[in-house]
Amino acid sequence: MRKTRKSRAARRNPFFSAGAFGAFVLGAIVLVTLLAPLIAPHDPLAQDLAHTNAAPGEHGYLLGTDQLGRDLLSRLLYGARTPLLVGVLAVLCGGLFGTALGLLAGFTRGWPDQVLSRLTDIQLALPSILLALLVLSFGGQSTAVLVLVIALTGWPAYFRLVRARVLALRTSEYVEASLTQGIPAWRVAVRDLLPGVRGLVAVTATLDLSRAVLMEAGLSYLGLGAQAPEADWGLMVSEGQGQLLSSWWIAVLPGLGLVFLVISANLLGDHLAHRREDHGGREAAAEPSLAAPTPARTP
Amino acid sequence: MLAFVLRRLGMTLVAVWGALSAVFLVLHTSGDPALMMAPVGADEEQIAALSHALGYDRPIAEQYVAFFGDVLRGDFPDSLTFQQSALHVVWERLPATLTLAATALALACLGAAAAGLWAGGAGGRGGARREWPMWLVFLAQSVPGFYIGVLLVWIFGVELRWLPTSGAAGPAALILPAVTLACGVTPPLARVFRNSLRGELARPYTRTGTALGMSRARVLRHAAHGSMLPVVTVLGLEAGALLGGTVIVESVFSWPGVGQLVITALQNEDYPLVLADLTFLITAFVLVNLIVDLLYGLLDPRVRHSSGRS
Repeated sequence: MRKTRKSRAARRNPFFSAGAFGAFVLGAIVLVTLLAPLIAPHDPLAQDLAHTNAAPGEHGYLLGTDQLGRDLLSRLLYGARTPLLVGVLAVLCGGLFGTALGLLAGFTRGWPDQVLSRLTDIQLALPSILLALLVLSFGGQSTAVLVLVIALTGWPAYFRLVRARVLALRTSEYVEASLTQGIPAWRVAVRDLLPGVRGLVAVTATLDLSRAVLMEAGLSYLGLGAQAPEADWGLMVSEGQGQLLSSWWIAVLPGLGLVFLVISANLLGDHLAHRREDHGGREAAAEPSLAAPTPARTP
Repeated sequence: MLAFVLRRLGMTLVAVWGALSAVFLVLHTSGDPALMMAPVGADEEQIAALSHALGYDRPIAEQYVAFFGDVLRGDFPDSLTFQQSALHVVWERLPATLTLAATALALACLGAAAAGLWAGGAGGRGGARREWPMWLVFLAQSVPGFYIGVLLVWIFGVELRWLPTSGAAGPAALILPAVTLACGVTPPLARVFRNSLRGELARPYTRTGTALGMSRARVLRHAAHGSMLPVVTVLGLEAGALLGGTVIVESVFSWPGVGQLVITALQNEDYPLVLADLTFLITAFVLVNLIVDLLYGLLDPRVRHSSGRS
């Protein structure tokens, strides 16, 4: 372990690290999205029907306009708002839910564990995009439902990791000590076990963010997420697809934004996972799959 | 072996039960289902009649049982846009989806084999010269499937005019959708194959082979054979990504399959068709998982002799 750590550190480029790059790009996207009302040159919804499909630079539009004459640059600046908002909320909901239930199942074992484990088995047996389509088509389409659906398809990952970790931690002496002192079980769970899974949950959440963003984008592309006339990268790609023949930039540029967003979250997540592996010592070596969850994939 | 098959079968039945219950739950917690199944503009009397015909006015427990019977018999409300049995419409679209999925899977296996052999075949040595396919894989993993599709349409359909970009006329129309779908499935396969191959090449038997003077190609062939098990596991898991991916890819390329059908049905507010299509897809997915599990048991005796879940 020590040897690999050394060689890994020696190979590390002092001027460039993929994790730092990911954090930087992610931070830049968040900052631009927050500052969009201040820096956008136009209203993202304002139509200029005299200048539709303008090429970049034409008529004073830096990146051109879309099929309704809306400024593409302004729409790009605003376009990460929904993916980020939905993504972060979904990760929070799914993460909290999954972690809480994982803690419960791992700590109590017994029937709650049985029931919840079977439930995750069933859910993981269903493709998440189909589950999302099912809920969105019959449960109505709104941002709240979108967040819930993405959280719903994300919680089993947290549940499984936290449960496995808690099962391992439960038998350690400090937990036994707390329990024999007569400290109520829920307090032991929160005070002694929760800190032990914090790092794991943080890594999972970073990678889950890219999954959530991808899912929001995919659903918006299909017309089930963000609704027109909203500026949303996934929706903008779908609207621009019909204009590819005359003005490719309308579809291609928003997609590029999505690619950067997802890559940066994946790079950061991978980096955090590897760092856990490097510094986690014994614990990570025993459960390599726990320390490095696979990155999110395109739905 | 029999006990293994029965256990897997039992787990599949539980999964199908769970999936169908989810469909039932969503259908009945989102308001009056008859309202969704009725054509747009139906008056209250028509809706009430439909509600009665479909049994939506019976007690919920009775409906729950009846729902399973209906699904088993393939008895769904008629499609509103096609004016015929919804399952029949889905069935007609199935060959197109299967063609697309099979082609994409073949492409993904080829791509993953090439990337994995190149990156993992050196046994961890070789550095960036060997690792670049894995960066491509990372990129493919981070680009949304629909965006890959739109980019391919733009480059090969609009700018170069080499390939058709929508519909299913002729084998040329299959290329772009299949490549797009394959891009979503290749990354996990390539990753696991590379890692598994690297692991095999570090084991004594490959070193013995090399020491005995076997050619590199022959050593690699043995190592690749030994590294297949985790690849098959991931292949099984990817069956779901493939099915889910068809929904998006078929929409990008207007490929007339089951996935595009569910999206157009949603746009046309043809909820009976949405219900039949999604139920079909979900059930199909669970069954595919069962088949993969059984194949896995055939491949690896340890799986069928282990008692239950790990």
